[in-house]
Amino acid sequence: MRHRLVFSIVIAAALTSAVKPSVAATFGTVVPIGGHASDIALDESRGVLYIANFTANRIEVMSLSDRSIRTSMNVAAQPGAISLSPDNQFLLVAHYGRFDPPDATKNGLTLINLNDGTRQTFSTGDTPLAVAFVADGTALIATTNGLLLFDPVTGAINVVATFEALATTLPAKLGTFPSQVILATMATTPDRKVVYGIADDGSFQAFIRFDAVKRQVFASGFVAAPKPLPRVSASADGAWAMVGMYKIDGGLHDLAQFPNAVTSLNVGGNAIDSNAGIIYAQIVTAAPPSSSSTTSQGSSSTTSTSTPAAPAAPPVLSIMDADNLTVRETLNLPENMTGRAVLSTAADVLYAVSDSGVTVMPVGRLKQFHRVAATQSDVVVSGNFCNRNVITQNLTITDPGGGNTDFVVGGNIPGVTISPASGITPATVQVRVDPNVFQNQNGTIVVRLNIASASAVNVPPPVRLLINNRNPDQRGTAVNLPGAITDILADPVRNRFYVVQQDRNQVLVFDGATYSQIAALRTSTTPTQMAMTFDRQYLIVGHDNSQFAYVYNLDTLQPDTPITFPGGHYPRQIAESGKSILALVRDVTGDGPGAIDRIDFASRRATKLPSLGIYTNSVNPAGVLAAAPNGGSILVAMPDGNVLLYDANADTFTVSRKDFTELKGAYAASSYNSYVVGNVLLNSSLVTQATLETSSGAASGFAFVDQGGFRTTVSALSSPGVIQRVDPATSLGIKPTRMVEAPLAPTLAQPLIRTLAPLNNRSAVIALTVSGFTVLPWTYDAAVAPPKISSVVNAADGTKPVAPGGLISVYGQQMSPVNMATKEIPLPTALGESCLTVNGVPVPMLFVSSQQINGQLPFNVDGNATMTLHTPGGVSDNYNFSIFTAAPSIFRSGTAGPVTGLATVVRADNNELVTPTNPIHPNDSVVIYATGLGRTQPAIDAGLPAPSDPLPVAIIVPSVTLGGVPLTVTYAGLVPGEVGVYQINATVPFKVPQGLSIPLVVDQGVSTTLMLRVVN
Amino acid sequence: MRAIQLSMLLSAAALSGFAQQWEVGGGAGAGFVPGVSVASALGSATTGFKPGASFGAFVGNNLYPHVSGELHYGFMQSNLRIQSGGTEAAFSGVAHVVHYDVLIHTNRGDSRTQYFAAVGGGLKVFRGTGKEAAYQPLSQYAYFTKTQVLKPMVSIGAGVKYALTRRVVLRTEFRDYLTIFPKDLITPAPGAKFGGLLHNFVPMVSIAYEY
Repeated sequence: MRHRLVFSIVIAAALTSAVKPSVAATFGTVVPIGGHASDIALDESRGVLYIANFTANRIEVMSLSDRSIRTSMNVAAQPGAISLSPDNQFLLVAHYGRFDPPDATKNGLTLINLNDGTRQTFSTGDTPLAVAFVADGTALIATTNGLLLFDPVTGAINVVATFEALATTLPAKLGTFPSQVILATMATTPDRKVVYGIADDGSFQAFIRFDAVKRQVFASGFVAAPKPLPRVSASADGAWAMVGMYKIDGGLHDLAQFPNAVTSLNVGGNAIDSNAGIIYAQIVTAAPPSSSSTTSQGSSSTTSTSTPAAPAAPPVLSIMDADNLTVRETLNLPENMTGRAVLSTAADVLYAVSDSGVTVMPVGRLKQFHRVAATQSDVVVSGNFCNRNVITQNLTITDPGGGNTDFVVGGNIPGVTISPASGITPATVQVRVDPNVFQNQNGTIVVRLNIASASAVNVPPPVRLLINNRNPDQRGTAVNLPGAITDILADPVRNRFYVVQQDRNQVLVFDGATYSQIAALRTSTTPTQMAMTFDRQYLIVGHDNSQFAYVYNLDTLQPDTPITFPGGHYPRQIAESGKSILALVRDVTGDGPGAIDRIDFASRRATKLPSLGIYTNSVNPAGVLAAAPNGGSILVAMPDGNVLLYDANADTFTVSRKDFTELKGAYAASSYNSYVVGNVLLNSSLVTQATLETSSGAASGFAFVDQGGFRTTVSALSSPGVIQRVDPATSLGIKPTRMVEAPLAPTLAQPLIRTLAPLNNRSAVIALTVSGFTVLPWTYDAAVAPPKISSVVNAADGTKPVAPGGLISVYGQQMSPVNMATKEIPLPTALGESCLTVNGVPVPMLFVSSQQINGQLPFNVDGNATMTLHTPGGVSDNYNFSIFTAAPSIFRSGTAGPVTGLATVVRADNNELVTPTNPIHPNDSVVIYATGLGRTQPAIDAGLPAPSDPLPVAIIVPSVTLGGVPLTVTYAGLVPGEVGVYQINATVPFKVPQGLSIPLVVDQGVSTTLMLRVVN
Repeated sequence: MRAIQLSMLLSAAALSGFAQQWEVGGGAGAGFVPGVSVASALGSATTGFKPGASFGAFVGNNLYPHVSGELHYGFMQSNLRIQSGGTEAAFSGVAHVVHYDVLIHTNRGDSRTQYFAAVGGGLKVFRGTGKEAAYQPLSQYAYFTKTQVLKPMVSIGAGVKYALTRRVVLRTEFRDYLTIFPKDLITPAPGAKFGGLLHNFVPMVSIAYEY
């Protein structure tokens, strides 16, 4: 185990270091101002940006056209905040005069009439912190003691509200930025009807929402952890705002917060483009904000209240989805944003206060900048016992803007060749893996392929290279699922299962019969765990970075009203009993690191339980909840060794024990008063009933089924995991079986995990594994008879003649323990747990089931051939058959209305299938879709889609006749983008026999005939 | 007294209108086609054509005191249809008819009202003009086809002429255009049988000018 781990680390290190970080290009232009900027105001009517130069006592006027400082307006000392009136007539400047010793005369406003250049000054008494003109032409002013409304016409100042004294005192220590002094800001909606603001005294923050139409203020104080910088942007409708790393609504509910964000001293900024549904933000995180930095096993952003120095990461701008802060793209910035960010009206230019003054970012022209990205997140290389040849997978590198951008990918490691390793986009990079090098690695090895570019302004996400090299005894079919997968739940009444894809902020819904994704449910930020209401009607999803648990109707798969938790409570775990729905929350209110809340599902609100029975309501936030399927109890397990039991009948917590110093791994609750945490089986009093074996590795997953269960263990992520049944009587493992790859292992961030889900119809067990999830047949450990092949036919019309490169259907018995189709390209040569060879050459496969396999014959075999099938049951007897050089057959897969099984001959005239109601007419052009037209020029490899340039033309050109009359064939070859599918384009002559049943014959030495209707 | 004399004069002029040699006119009406039953192992259906507007023109010549001849052209909106149970499938179509009829008059024109019977023959062109599609409801009985078919036709009818003025005549008539069922246009599906004669009843009102 140690050896394998070291091997994996070496590979990762080799590839990571192979791509040397070059001097990255940056996005945006810096405009230095010779001082520290404290605020900006955009005046598009005059084509200028006003920049408050806090330390030089100037308002710099920057031209929007050439980004030069054309003029500067000298103003009174410390212009800390500025705002432009809605009619663009007035620029209001707030002067920060909070000095030691105090001098109230320095606190005031300067009103600059931009039309005639006149100025007026007004004293505010208290220090003005932030200003914002609202729709009626008055200006809202936040001071150290409250809110004022200032009328620029009359000069009247009225008090709107008062609150605690805020802000810091000058002089400040060296290196302090204006925003660190002022610690307050306000922002309006574009129509200036709503103002959001925040003010901070260093430890306590005041949140403000001002309705300028109703003249109503909502203000609240809080201590946020991590603390947000005073950077506020309001959504267009005023319903929510970004405050630092928090997305909040008007009632100060934390709708979402950026994962892994840490308290920053000065770095950060944000702006909202409501029309595009995106947020531009620089948010300092605990780790570099690339997709690879996401904690794969749960977020670690928890209760940090200190203000650690910002990590020395390069400054980046994140472009995020506005609903749940999912990062779409990350751009390198020339310097840090350090204050307000403003979007132009057209949302095409972003202006932000930055280290040197202002940075101008032309976000509307992002497509014109060099960027680079891979089109897929994962590259899967599956070797198998049928195929020890070098496996090639394509990785497409593009510039999302369509440009030609330089790139470098990965590097050289034994067994992996990347060619070309550098180039210009668009490009297809071939990743070749020699399975023989990895023959001792029977699990999945994860290698990170880094992509770099000297000219790209973005931070390209890395690509996971997943190399699996299974042996015949390894069971299960791995299904690739990119991203951080953190939880799985089988639907007890529908043949589905749900998977949390945490870094994409969504729950994926999979069909339990085909294991294909049928829906994606968008969640809030950092979904952690799922639960189902006891009536099985709703799915509830908890989050680590939202004050809400999301609810989805499972019949419609549509979102329902979410559950609101108390402020500072983040619902990480949810479980339902027959009596109550409980949530284990991360609690940042100061009461404790974690707590148990009770959910009132009818009102969709949660409240903290006053106590847990006789115990205090203070729990480890990394704890988990497991509900017994019968609704009788809920287990609470914590990594520090604490376990609690909620009894639904007593409606209270009846057991609390701490018999362990540490608990990690699987957790589960049964309907028979048994519970599992890690390797321990607990009874109804949470007393150890048995200790499960650990020789096969650490506990990963456990799922009770009746009184027994399934259990998975993992020794190393690069080795095969083990699945076994657990005997209910002895608690011993039965028939430990090696899996195709390792199940997910507990981590520091997620010490207790749920990775196993038996499907409700008992057809399969789904395990979260290294590359996504693995499907194991329910009877994975049953003795399996060897497979039998009874016939091989072409997949188009089911007749015997087959040809190289043609799609085939193979019929027989015991051909696969699972039904599985793949969309993987190139087609895999092992699917499910089956692999097929013809004359020893692996056959790319599309679909496997017990009695049928669909695949594509290799192009390099013909004549007499021998087929063998490898399954967990063994190897089939040889099946001998003939492969013709060409054997055309027309697909019968067409559908029209409710009619299926139609021949795939399409009239170009209306692009519909030829049928008796859509007959062929003289002079029609038709397209015939077929397989079995044989080898092509240029040749392509089996399993790969046909290219569009050059088109692969059939070497043996078919003749096509209709009623004995030859048709003009204009093209016969593979369909671009398809695997094994050919098309023949032909034109019908003017004179052709008519009738209900006229023979269409395609002949390449071997012919196929189809009866069609022809009319005048 | 003067008014009576004027009306008698007009009446005399009108009556003499039926005595003219040639007659040219045009009219409008509607066409009705009784459905044809479809016999099939899959069930039963009715096919044929939907009722539709009809327009026509004619030129007539009074050959004898009680006999005249007329050359007719008619256009009919004639959408194809199949019905079975509550399901109906339709397909746009039109028809053109050209025929020559012999008319037998009831009198020689000594009355403002003249009854006639007509019989003749000609050709009828059926045209399917709809958009063909891979799927057509009720295609288990018949297929609609975008094509045209020419069929010989027998025309029989009767009507009444009313002289509005000496030269202007109002006609109402009722005709039946008999053809063989156009199976190239509505083609029986394999196993389905229908056909025989197709009646097309066309009541029409016309205005004619005699000279």
